[in-house]
Amino acid sequence: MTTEFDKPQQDRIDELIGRRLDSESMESDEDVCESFSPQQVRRASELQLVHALLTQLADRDQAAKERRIQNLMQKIDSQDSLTIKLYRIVKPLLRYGIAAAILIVFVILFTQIPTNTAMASMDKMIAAMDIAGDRTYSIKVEGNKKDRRPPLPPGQPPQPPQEPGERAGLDGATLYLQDSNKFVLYWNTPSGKTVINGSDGQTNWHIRPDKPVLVSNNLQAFRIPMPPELAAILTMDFKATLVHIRDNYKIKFLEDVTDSQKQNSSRTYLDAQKISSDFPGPKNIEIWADTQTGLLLRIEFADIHMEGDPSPKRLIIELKDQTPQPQNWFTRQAHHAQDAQVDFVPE
Amino acid sequence: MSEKGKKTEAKAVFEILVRENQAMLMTYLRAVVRDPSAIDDLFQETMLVVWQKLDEYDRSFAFGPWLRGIAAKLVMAHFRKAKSAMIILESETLDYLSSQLQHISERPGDTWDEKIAAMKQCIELLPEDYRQAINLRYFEQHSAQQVAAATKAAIETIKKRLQRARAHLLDCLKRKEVVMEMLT
Repeated sequence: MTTEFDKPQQDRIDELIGRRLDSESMESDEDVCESFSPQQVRRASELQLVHALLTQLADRDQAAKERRIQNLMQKIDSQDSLTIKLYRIVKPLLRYGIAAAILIVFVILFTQIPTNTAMASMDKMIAAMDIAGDRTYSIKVEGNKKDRRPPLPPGQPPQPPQEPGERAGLDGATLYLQDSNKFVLYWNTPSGKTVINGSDGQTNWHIRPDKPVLVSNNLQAFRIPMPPELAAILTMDFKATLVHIRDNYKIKFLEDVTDSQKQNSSRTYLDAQKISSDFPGPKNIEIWADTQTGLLLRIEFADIHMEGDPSPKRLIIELKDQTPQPQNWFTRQAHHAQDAQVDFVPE
Repeated sequence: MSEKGKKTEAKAVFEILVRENQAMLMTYLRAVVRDPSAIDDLFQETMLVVWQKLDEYDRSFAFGPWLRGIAAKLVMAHFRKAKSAMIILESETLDYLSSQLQHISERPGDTWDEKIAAMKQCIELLPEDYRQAINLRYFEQHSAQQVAAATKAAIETIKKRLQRARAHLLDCLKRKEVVMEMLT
């Protein structure tokens, strides 16, 4: 048998460990921290080992295993090249005593970047929302990365462009934002008709072809074709979206990428993994932001489901323009005929 | 061979070392950390430190304990930083796990799966309702709540089945000498 201590003691530790291992929450440890005897410590360790062996045996995700190794080797490559670059910069100074200290400080700073930088970048992005001007974002829906079709072989004719009905709902939509509470969203119905939702911060409005314009003082009014996974997280106020991500996801800093199209510009690339399955958002979100200003440039939500489509998709929102819009752009009058019928919907 | 060529070759050899130890290190981390993304981070951090300190490794000793020693320090730092304790944050836990994993590493078999093949036999020996709970929880990756829904059983019943199933498996693994009986 496994025990040298009595059965109730063993049952107690088995139950505590079981509670932790089978809890939905990743942070369920606080209530089980107490003083344990050496036998209890060993029993707990044994059960944790069994759990780990089972988890490892059941892990058949070869792609994830391979990705883990590739990420590591890339990290080693990037650290090596950084060290070489730093060495080349500092080498001429090495003859002076201070240079060695500078090198050490730089190496420490750059190798400690990932975790702290991720949260700092998120905070910077959230703060940037308060001072961001007018922004135009495109929205598109694609197959998950692993489901995407391979590129066509040379010489093969490209696939015909999608008909309007094939890019409906949020796919192909355009979102205009101003401040934290004004938006205009152009999107298509499956029949290819354009629908406009918007808010001037005081009222929400909804413009449909050949129907009266609907207006409401309720700022939650009028349906936007949102995937269920995003209902709790994606609002037309991106600041709230970013706060949700910061509070409910583990954020990982991946890299700063130099923007090939803009001189002296770079993008911060973050990866967010949902911490608890209790939170109703997508498991994985990728985020790109302007490294200097913190402005949200692109956000990708993985494994979301569009209405009537069982296969998981990625919803991608990307900044296209920062040109200021006409003064009345965020009022409904800028988007419908002057003589259009307007119905006010009670709250 | 040029310096660059040596470095490239060293990285290729290191990648083999990482592949050979991935399953063992992941098992070690999974025993003490629950958050999958934290486990991935710790795996990467551990291997990065190993790469940086490879010159310090004394080849007259086994590689596994040295690797797990580095991982243990990072795990402790992780929990200190997160301000959340492991269920029992004792250095004995990490030492115990390290000893058991070393024992498993030395078992016959070319791969980690082969070394722990006895686990499959132990699962087969479980009573039907325990085996079903383990299959759904681990191999189908359901939460305890989802297992309860799938089997139309109460959540507390499922938690108890899982708890007892793990205890059965531990006894079986000891009988098959996959897990060592250790004195405290």
